[in-house]
Amino acid sequence: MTHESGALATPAAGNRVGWYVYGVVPWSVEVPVTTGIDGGRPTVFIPEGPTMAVASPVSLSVFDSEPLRRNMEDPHWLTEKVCRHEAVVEAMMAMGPILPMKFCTIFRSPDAVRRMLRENALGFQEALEFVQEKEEWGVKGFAHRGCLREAVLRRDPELHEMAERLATSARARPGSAFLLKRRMDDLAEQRRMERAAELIREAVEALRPSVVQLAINSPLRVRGTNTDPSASAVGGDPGEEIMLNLACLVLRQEVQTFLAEVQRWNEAVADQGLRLVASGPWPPYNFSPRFGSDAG
Amino acid sequence: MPADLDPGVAEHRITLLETLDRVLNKGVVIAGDVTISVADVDLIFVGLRLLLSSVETARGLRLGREL
Repeated sequence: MTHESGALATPAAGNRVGWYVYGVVPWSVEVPVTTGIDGGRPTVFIPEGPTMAVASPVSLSVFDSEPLRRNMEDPHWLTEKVCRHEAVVEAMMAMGPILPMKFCTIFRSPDAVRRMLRENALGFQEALEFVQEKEEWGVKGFAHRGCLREAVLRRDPELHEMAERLATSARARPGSAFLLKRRMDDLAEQRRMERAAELIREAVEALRPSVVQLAINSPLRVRGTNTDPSASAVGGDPGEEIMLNLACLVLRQEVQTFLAEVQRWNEAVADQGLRLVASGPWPPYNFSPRFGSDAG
Repeated sequence: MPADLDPGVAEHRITLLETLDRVLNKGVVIAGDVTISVADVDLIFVGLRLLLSSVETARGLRLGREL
């Protein structure tokens, strides 16, 4: 029947399938058929009332809880599946509004999918109306330690004064110069952090007028390391650290204004040690509803 | 990994991590026992480990988003 490659065709559990749901779209939207997450079976549409789920059958030998837990520990498997999930969602995003599901939202049967659509019908409808004609954009803020410190040293009178005293006492009294240097470094570090926080607040306020809604997420950082290589891991330059991770919902017709605002802000603070980087358009992952915590 | 990544690659790496962050962490959540459950994954950690170990995989699957 299908021409998929052998990976899923394990004999024992191979016949049992779950229904992987990528997203929910209005019933009326025209949707392309794309390859599903398993790389073989194409997407299908499961309508219920005014909405429909975009789904594809997946083998439970790969996607049931236990095998899934194991598979998700394999970085290559996970990266590939996440990208396939995203590719399906993006193909639909081109056709109209979509509410993307969280990774691996899998149901036991098409009936279970329909029931889910029915039980959350109002929520889906409202959310679809809300994201219509809008795009999600990401904005990250990278602070450059050295530049930020330089900018702080230039502006802060207290630090300025300490630097001058340091210059005069360096030769005459090396011991006190050493202590003064340490106090100055501590203060500069404190001022640098304060200035970074201030710039971040200013950046958020500068963008706010051109967006419908903002979500301030925790910066994508590397955990479990003493150093902070995170900036380079998320696209920053050496010496930078990521300070801001924003998701912005922007009216489609306002996107150019929004991007111009990002650029304008970067130009305005070019010598201050913080820069913004925008990415998008994304499906509205950050502006999709969460159901079920208090529902029956 | 080369020290002087060209800007295109750097942008792509941002996009991959952002993709992971969104797809694994965000999106519509259906709570309760209707779905097949997945153990909560510490995304940020997994994401970065992924990013560092599988740039090649992702390059083959590039999503075509360039900025």
